[in-house]
Amino acid sequence: MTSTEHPPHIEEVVGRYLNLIIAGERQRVYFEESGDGIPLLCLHTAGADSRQYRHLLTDPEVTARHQVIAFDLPWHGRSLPPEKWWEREYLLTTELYVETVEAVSAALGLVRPIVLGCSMAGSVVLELARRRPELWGGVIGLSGAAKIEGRFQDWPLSPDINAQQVVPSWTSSLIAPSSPEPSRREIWWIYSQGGPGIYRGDTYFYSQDLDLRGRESEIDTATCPVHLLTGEYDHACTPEMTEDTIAAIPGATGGRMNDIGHFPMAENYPKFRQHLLPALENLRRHRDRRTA
Amino acid sequence: MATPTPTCETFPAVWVEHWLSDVSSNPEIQVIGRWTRLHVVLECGVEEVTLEFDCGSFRRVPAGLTTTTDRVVFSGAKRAWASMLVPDPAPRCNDVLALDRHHPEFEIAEGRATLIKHLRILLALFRIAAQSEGRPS
Repeated sequence: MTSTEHPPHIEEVVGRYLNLIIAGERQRVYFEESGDGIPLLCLHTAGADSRQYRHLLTDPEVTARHQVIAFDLPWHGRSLPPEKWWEREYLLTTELYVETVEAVSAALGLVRPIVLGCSMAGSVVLELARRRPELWGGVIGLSGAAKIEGRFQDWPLSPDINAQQVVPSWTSSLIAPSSPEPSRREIWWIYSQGGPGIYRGDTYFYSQDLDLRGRESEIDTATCPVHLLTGEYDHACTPEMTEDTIAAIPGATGGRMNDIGHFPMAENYPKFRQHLLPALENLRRHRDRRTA
Repeated sequence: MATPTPTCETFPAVWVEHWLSDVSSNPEIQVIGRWTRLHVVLECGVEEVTLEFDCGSFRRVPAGLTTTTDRVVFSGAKRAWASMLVPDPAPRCNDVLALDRHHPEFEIAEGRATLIKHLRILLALFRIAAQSEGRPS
């Protein structure tokens, strides 16, 4: 490989820090953005960070129409934990998660962004839409459902477990084996860099705290459309679980994605965008109608 | 003394030999397996294959060997094993974690905590197994 074949280039993606108060605490939140147009706010998976959206942030077909923003939750990636973090157990609650997303969106001045989330974020978009649908132009949830079971485990904090290797291996089981190997390994790498107990603390929200069963009909899809997609190789949130949630939300759309697992935007972006682009187009039209 | 190679319907001897060889020559295994000592037991009814992974070397050892080495026992029906040990497994059959959660005829029969401890190397071993010649069918 030579520099003639691959000349140096600088991506359009820009990273910055947002200082704000979330739930009464000062936070310094790292975010990346690219493109112009309708804001598309991207939320990463449990125990990971916004690097999972690097393909989407550099997709000209998306950035030509959208201001794409992806941020690292506090305790993740380049967003450091708050003060006195060492004196507390990290457990992400529904209240804190929703407040964080709403606060970041407001502080960035985003007007009715479309929210795209995966895994725990694929579930939190349902709660965002349920609580304050007027804030959002629509939500797209990947690998999310009204209730996920079995993901919250204590072993990541066990002293005889090397969580740096075990957590990424545990989550790698959810990737489609047919996804490109460099992408599968990249997901593993990002997971290997999570702080101690952070994946566990995120799954507290995903698998313990959030339970929207029986409340799905409270989501007003006329105000905030809901589109849910799950890969067929996802055995944490199965396509059937997502399909059940779609059926329970009046007006929700979506379904399963073949040959994809739990991390669509990171594990096989070319395949995932075949599902994403039509969904974005539909949400854009809906948002334009409401704005008009 | 060399370990006799019993005839085994679910875990064909030719496949085991290819697997052992493929693991020994795998560059990733040589990197990530340098500090791992582990016994891996595959069960299917009365059939059993016990393998020893020792810091990068992989060999068959007598079944029922008493050991203080970490040990994980995977137990499953022939069709469960066959569903995982293919290069292009179907959804929910792609590795031992998927099978354990979703296949009614597969379980981690012993050593669940050990499985977690050695998960990186175990998933890599089975990834290679699914590509090795002479696989169960």
